[in-house]
Amino acid sequence: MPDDVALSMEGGWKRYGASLGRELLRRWWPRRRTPPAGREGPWALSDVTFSVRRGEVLGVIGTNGAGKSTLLKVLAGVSPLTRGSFRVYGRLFSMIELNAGIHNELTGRQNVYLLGAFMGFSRGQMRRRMPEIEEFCELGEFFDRPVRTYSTGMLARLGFAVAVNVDADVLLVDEVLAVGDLPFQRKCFAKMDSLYRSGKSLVFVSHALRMVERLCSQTLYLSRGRVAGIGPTADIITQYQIDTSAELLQRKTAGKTASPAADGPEAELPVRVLAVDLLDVSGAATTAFRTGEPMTIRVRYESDLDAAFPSVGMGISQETVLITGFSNELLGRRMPLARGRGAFCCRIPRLMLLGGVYSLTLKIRGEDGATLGGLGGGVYFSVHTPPEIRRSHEYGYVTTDVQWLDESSAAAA
Amino acid sequence: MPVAIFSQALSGLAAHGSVIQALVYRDLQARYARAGLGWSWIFLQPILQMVVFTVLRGILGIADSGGMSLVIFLYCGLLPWNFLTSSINGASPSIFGNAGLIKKTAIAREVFPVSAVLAALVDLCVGLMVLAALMAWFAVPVTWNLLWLPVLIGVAILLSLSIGLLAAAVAPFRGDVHLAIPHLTQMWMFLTPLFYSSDRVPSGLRSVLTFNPAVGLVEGFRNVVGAGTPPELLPLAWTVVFSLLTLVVSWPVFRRMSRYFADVL
Repeated sequence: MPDDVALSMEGGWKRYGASLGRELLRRWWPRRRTPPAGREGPWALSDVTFSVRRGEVLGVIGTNGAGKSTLLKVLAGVSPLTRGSFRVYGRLFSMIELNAGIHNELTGRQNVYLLGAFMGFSRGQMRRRMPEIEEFCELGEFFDRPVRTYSTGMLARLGFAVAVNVDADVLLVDEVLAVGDLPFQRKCFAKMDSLYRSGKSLVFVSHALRMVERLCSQTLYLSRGRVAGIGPTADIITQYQIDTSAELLQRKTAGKTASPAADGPEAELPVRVLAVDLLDVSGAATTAFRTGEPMTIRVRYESDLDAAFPSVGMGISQETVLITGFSNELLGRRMPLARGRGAFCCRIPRLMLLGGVYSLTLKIRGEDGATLGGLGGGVYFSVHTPPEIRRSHEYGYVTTDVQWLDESSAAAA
Repeated sequence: MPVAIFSQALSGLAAHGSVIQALVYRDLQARYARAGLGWSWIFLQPILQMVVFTVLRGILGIADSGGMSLVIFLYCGLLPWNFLTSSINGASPSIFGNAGLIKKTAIAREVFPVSAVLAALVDLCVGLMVLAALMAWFAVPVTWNLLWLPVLIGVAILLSLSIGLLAAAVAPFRGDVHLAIPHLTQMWMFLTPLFYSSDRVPSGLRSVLTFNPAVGLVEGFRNVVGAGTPPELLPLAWTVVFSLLTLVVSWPVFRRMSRYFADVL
């Protein structure tokens, strides 16, 4: 094992559902073949292999049920692997569910000793660290009052103070990092920074992709118990986004077609939309796009009449939120509709949408304003945001072209 | 070999000393801190039990005391018995009652039933103090045989642990265990000569008593404290043998099942 590895897992498999009887049998008749697995559950972890180097922060992401909490339980030594092994080189400390050991009637100080004891530290060891812990949690006189008088924020501060001030080589962390008010959070981040600068490793499990992207150099992506990807965080997060969008897209479009139902209200109208195709930069029809890429919307229709100046309006929404709506009206662009079958296109040179799944609606009106045709839903597409754009655009639905200027440039601009 | 296991157990105990201490303190706190009379309940419980049984004696007309005051007779028997039952009743839910901790830290799971037994030990010690007061009141003679007490207490701990570990190991998987135990201990109580002395039992039933591991303990306590005579070695030896046999089964079972506690809780 190379010297700089802090934690490694090889071929880890885990399944729940060990039944009492079979376990006892296996103990005393190891050579007897145990009856086939009936009540044992599916594999929660399948062939998981990864390692964490010293001073590295490994992110662990995945949807619910992907096996993240199972992995954490195994790493904390709380639950055994069914097959495979893992090794921790040094001491591992789990900061997840810190307050499990806290007892309400005891004071903050007494609970620090208690938490330390549960982590395997003797009273003497905790006593030596007490000044730092007391200072870190900033509880003042509350430190010597019973914990049941604490607010949740104070409880979190107590737990966190114990966690960051004890000697551990590997820390398991989850969203517990996000507790407390802003100054305290900043203090925690600063402390985490100093921890891994001094060679401690961190395994950070989270749904908050922005935090993962900010803190972790490498990321492990778990999907249904398997390692779906492991590598540099930016790439893994992109992959995760693509996967989750694709899944969401699949769910939304399952069983639906992108053209209106033959017996729907839109079928009665003079102009019927036959198909809406979304084309990427090369002209191929697709449903997956990247932020900043061009997108062409091609609408094929069948019309009962001629229209010289129809107005076509389109809207792009995410769930119930209309993100953007546009039409050809004010541009005066002639887009005549001819009787029979035809098609028209609309090109978006740069798609400003950030990662997610979106739906497209369209409405065609005649010059007099009467509705000629349209499509109320059923067209879905996904967008994923490449790392360069993700870096500066963390929140919201769309990107914005910004230039950051200092005062002198601003005056000149 | 047994020495090695024993010393390993002791060193394991020392390493987990602070955890066990913390758990025992927590359990006692939970029990007594909120009570209005607070910590004095530790004294009150055995005293109240005594009062109840003395009254019962008057009603039920339990006559014979085997040469000692009935109060002493009952008390000496009840003290180890209460320790036994509260140990076992405390050990059986000790795993699923500490689900949060077990799912979070990797400490040896034995600390939970062990701390339940030790919490009961605290009650026992307090009871001994009350007993000392009673002995003074009833002018019970103090003999060298009192030195058997630590031995008897040790045997009691051994018996409690051996059964408690088994109960604690199985309880998270089979909820019936936790519910059945109070009833089982109640039946056990009738088979134990607490309210009667074993020489009053007809010979046919006497053989049943010989298999009861609690007999050696209870009668030993009574002999040593109440009568000033040494405990009967044969029943006591049976208690020790029974405990060791049970331990040989229950501890490995506990170890085996403890790997999966976090999974099923």
